[in-house]
Amino acid sequence: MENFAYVNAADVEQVPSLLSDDWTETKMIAGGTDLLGELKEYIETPKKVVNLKSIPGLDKINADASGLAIGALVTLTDIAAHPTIQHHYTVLAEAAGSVASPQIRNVGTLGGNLCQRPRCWYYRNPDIICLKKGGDTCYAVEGLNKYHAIFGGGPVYIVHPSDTAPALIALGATAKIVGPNGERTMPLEDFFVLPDVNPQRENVLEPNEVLTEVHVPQPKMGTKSTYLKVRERGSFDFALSSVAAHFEMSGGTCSKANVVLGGVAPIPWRSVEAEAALNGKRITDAVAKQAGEAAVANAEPMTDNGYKVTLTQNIVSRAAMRLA
Amino acid sequence: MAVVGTSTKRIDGIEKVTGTAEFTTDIVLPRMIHAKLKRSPYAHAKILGIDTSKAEQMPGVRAVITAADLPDVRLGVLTLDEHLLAHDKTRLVGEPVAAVAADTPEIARAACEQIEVEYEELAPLFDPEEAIKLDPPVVLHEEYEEYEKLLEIAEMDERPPNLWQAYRIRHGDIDDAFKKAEDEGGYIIENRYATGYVHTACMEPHGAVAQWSSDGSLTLWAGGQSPYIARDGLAKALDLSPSKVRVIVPFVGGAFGGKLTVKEGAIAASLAHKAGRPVKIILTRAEDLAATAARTPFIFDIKDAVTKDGILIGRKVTSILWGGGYSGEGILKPIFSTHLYPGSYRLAALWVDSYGVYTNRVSGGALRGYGCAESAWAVETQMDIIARKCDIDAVELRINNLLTEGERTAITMPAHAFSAHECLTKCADAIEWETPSESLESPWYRGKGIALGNKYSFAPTASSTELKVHEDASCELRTSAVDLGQGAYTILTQIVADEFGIEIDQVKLVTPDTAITPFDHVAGSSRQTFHTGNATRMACDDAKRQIRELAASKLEADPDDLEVSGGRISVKGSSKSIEVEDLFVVEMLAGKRPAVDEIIGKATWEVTASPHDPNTGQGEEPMAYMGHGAQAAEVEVNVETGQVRIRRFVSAIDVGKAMNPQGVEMQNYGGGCMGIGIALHEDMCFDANGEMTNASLMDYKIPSIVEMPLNEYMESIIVEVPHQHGPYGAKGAGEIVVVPTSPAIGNAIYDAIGVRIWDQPLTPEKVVKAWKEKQASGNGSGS
Amino acid sequence: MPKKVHVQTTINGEAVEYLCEPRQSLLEVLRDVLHLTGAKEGCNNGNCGACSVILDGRLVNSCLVLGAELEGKSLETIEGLAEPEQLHPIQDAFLENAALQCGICTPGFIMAAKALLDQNPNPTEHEIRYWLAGNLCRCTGYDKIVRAVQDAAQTTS
Repeated sequence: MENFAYVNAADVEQVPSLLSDDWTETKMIAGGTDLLGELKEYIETPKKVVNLKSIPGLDKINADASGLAIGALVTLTDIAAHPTIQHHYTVLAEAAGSVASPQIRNVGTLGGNLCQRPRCWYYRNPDIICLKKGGDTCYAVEGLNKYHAIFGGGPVYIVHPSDTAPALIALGATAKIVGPNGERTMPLEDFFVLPDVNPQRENVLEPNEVLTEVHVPQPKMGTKSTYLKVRERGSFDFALSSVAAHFEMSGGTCSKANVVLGGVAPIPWRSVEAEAALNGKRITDAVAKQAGEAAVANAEPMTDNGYKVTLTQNIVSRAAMRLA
Repeated sequence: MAVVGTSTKRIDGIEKVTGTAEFTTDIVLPRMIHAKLKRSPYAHAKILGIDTSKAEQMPGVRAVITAADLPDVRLGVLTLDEHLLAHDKTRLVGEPVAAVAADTPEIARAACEQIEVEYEELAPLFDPEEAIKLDPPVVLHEEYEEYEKLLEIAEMDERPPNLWQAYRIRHGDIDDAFKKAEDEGGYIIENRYATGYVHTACMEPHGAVAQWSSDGSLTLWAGGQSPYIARDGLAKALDLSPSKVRVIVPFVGGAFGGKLTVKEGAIAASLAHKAGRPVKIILTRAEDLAATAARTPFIFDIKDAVTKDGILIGRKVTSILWGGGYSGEGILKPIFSTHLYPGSYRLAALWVDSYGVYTNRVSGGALRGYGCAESAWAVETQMDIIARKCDIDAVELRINNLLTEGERTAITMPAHAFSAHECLTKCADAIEWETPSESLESPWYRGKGIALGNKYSFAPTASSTELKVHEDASCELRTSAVDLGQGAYTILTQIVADEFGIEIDQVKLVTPDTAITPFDHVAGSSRQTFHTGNATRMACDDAKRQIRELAASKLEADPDDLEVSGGRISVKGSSKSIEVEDLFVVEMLAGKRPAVDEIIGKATWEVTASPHDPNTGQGEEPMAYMGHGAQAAEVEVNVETGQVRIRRFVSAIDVGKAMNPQGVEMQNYGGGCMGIGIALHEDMCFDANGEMTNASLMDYKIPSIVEMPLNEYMESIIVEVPHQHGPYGAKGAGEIVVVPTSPAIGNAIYDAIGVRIWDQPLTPEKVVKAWKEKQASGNGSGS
Repeated sequence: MPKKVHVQTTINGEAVEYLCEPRQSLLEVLRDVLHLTGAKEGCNNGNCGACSVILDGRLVNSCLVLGAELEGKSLETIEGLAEPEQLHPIQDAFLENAALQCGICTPGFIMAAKALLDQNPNPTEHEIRYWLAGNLCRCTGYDKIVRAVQDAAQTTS
């Protein structure tokens, strides 16, 4: 890595003043499992790194009648192991427990998982200045794109690698951000940005803003949720395609379906088509099948990633059948 | 109690479990500095000039070298086509063009960035079927005819300019075989198979530490497979006499055929010479995956003639080994891979044309199996297809075609200790072959597949050992055999313990150091147990002979009437005996010395060979021995996601004599695991510029613990059919364990869902695609 | 050039202090500064587990932790397991079960096993595989590693 100054933040309010408004100058470090990877590959060479772990109080999980408040510094291991999350916010526990490896989950934080950069092998190559890094070409378009997007792509075609993001969006989470102008909150769904808004970033954060907390409303009675993740190996790998499904059920009918896809688009991808096929229906095999077909009806595969269309269609159906 | 044949604990285990085992990267020498390589970003380019001045000025930089600093000598295994640092041309992405040694790896890396290389890009050539043409679009080695070549390739009227290997097998009448099949209601089964780009991906990346002495001699520490190959390679590269080069092999973190080169070591040595400081070079994981020898793809076109009763009567193969910028250690693969074309079967007619070509991709190396795992993929899938075509059980079909003990194969290898039948039937029993797989709920399907393999161990070759006996009756074995993890040190220790009737902890091993340990060819080709094991026994015999001669007068007996065991020398059939200690005298001030001379047994075990004629593929006795093994897999396939899980796996190999049964089990499990990774997940990807896009252990996917079956479903079977020449009848296990794996899995997938995938790896996307095609067309693809 | 960071920490039960550059990973500190070379660099990017150590009771990849962040924390490495005359039961179990070949991944696996057994003294085979899924081995096929952990669980419980 290039050398940098290392600073411990004392509290949240201090963080924006420790950060530059230039993305290349400063970075925040939480668990560090993504940031250090980028620094080691010389993709990022900040002059200063601000440690968030020194800030007290950001590593708490608070579960009460209103819902779940998870500090951005809570580790993925702790999320996956939390009994309330396992029982009542199952999709989130399953998603967190599926990330990478035990070593990474033990230090990787919720904030880091949501804010992580993409895994695209052109982006991660320090010798390639692709469009996302300020260059003028997205090499995935004409190049090797078997891991790239089938929805929402253009002008860059990365997929968002987070597992917790689709789960939390399916759960209706909101995000709290602290910046130089104070605090703002927004639905987590609005935290992520499509590349046609900003090809160089994946979310709304300014260089001197920090995500501090995620809040999830208490699910209604009878709600079921699950996370299905398809990958080549059973460990380490990011999703080839994943689905976070969170259904409000009344009787045998799905009154409100939340279907959010991972690994297939530059942002966690809410499948409004699949949701429309499920809302208000009894989930039979036929309905589940229709939901799968609807989920990919508008997919735009690239030269090498057509298999993701089949995968996504199938796991949306499977998730629906599992929750029926 | 004898220890050969028992699961003696690893003698190097304590160091490994305590983390005190010293690997190359753990070595620290006083004033040591660090090296980094400047690599070509182009697959094919002329080098017009290199300016190292900026790099040389940087604080902390101690030496910078280019080809101009090195002897102008080409290196290689048998075709000498490669410079240590690129001369006027680079022929693959990542080829080193310059090197820096500096106080820290970071400074060295930054200095490499400051080296300015002027390239003229040339059109690259990646397609092997274009490369093999008589008039290819690009020629990689314009000066090929001037290169020193230590082997003959098959005769041809005109050599395609990118061809570095050609080998033919002409046995029997192939046209007659095809005609017979056609005329008599048999089958002609013709298919194309391909393997992918695979890497050894050892957990220890390549590296070396080099240090010069004031007398102009070089010491190199490098975790590699042969200190003597390294020594001679360094001597040649640096224009030294071999006696000026000392190679020491520390603990090695895996090799699998990938640690035969001395490239990094020689570069480090040259930097060390220029800087006057010891130099350490350790490749990053990305460099290790992208710029060291890989298992490059084969393309096989196979046409089989089969009678309607399922007897294979003729086989025609054209194969191309998709080589890289240099011929490398893969030079003999087009020859040795042909062992699987007859395999263990009787074959009246065999007609093969096997080629190796240059392209501007990574060079091909010697990964475990040396071409045989690749050819097994093709031929053992063919056997499965033949079985289904003839409506004969796949195990029965293979048995019906097997050779018998004493026959010769279509390439004149004698079938000795021919255990193919036993391996196959035991494997089939273990996977419960007679019982079809259970049906599962959609979208999962289960199926079983089986495959038979063999693996030669090459010749000519030799191993020497020395065995010193100390006055306390302990023994010291000096060997250049290398324990890469496969357990060689433990097995050799067991042999010495049994030969002398002493405890394991009374045997000490002096590990490879060319200043001390005698010649051993290489830790490769599954040869160490066999050759070094024999040499060890012989050296023990020699030492015991010396002991008997020394003891004869003290015991007033004839040396032939004496026995040496447990630290004692006894007269047979009497109670007269002395101790080894009694053969030593006390010298004032100097302790004890042997009364006459040091007791050092020496031996060389050598196997000569009459190599195959490259125009016919026939020869007398071309290899040291042939090993056999069969593997079977039960898979579960998800047709919606294409995922393939290995539910059960059986590996049955014949080791002649299990010197250390737990050690053999380890090879069965470990080889199975590597074979599973190669079959399903491992794939080096290259972009249009020839650069590897997935040079990380995240994106180059070797199996994790969850890819493997649960313990109760993972079975290791040890077959023991003694080899007449092996020590205690033993043969090696290192490579046979990856040979049948891919076809066993491919055949299992077919059994589960009725689809054939012809090219490895069998990824989810290929499975899904094949399944959809099958659903669309209404029948299986390829039966 | 940013100032070096002064760290006071506990490693294998002993007070340790060192200076390191902010950019140095814990793996580099262990190997290059403290000469504790049991943790190995297999990939330098969290993809293999050969550098695994136990930090405040949790298994982590030392290549992805900064050396500067150890202040006040407690670290266990492979070097802290054996007593001078006696191996740790997990080390014994690996030897008895031949759960290693080349040995370069072994320290990482032993630390992973310890981290698991410290939390869960009697794991099922599924749990063992799940919690060791962050460690790669190219040699053994993992089967005997699982058996070694089961064996060690018996001994230590």
